[in-house]
Amino acid sequence: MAARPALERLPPAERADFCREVMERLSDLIEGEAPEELCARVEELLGDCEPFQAYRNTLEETIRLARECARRGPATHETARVEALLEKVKARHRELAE
Amino acid sequence: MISALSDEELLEAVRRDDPHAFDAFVDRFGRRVLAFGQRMCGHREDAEDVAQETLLRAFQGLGELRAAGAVQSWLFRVAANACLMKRRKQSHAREISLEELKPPGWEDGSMPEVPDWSSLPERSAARAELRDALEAGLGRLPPDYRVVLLMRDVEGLSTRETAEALQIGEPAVKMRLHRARLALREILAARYAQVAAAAESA
Repeated sequence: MAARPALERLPPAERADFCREVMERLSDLIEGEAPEELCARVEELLGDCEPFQAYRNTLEETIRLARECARRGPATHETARVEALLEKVKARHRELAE
Repeated sequence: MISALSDEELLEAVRRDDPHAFDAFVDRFGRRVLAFGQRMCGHREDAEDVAQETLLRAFQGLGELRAAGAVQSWLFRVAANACLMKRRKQSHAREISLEELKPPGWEDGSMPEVPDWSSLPERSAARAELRDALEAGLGRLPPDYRVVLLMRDVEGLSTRETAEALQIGEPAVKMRLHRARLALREILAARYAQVAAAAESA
């Protein structure tokens, strides 16, 4: 697939540097922690780049899926084992506290 | 009722040696510490050892904490270090480089089409596959990257809290988190490609 027109206007070395910086700062861009200047350049040069947008979207989704992990408790068949472990910790604490 | 206390009030009750406070503390934090250990160690017995060790150390260590907000950081610091000690005995740490994660054509802007699986329906089978792939993918990350992603993205600790817990700089936390996320994205992309191919051939 050919390079997008906006990005093509950059000389190759500058294009490589810009793309490298975007790769390094993509988490910051997604979380709104990147400098305004970089955000503006990304919009200008990659705003119409479908592969980049898809890559960015899927990285955001990866982060979302990771954050959902915490809301998932143990599987149903594990509940009894988890409860037994917690009771064991409480019992050990009572021994140590005496 | 002790279970209704805020984290701050519960911490105070533990410090006062309230007879029911520690049990309430275990009920409140035990499952999260165990889940963290399971994702970090990838081994049930190790995770149970880590959870027990962490919660019992809390009995001794909580009295030193200045604020309830520090409880989570403290717990996950202890759990993370216990997990990392177990892993260090088994494998050498591996670095994740950006070079290995860069998609083809990234640096000259000539990336081929990238499938966008970011908007799958919440309850779809494909999204469930990706959730499972993510849980499995966590275990494939090098331990030093896995622990940062678990603390930041799964457990919701801040960059500063994670840095303090792991005794590393905030830039190191951000770098490892970003690379862990990129590596996980690759794992999910591969899984999605398999799911899409299977759907096409069905």
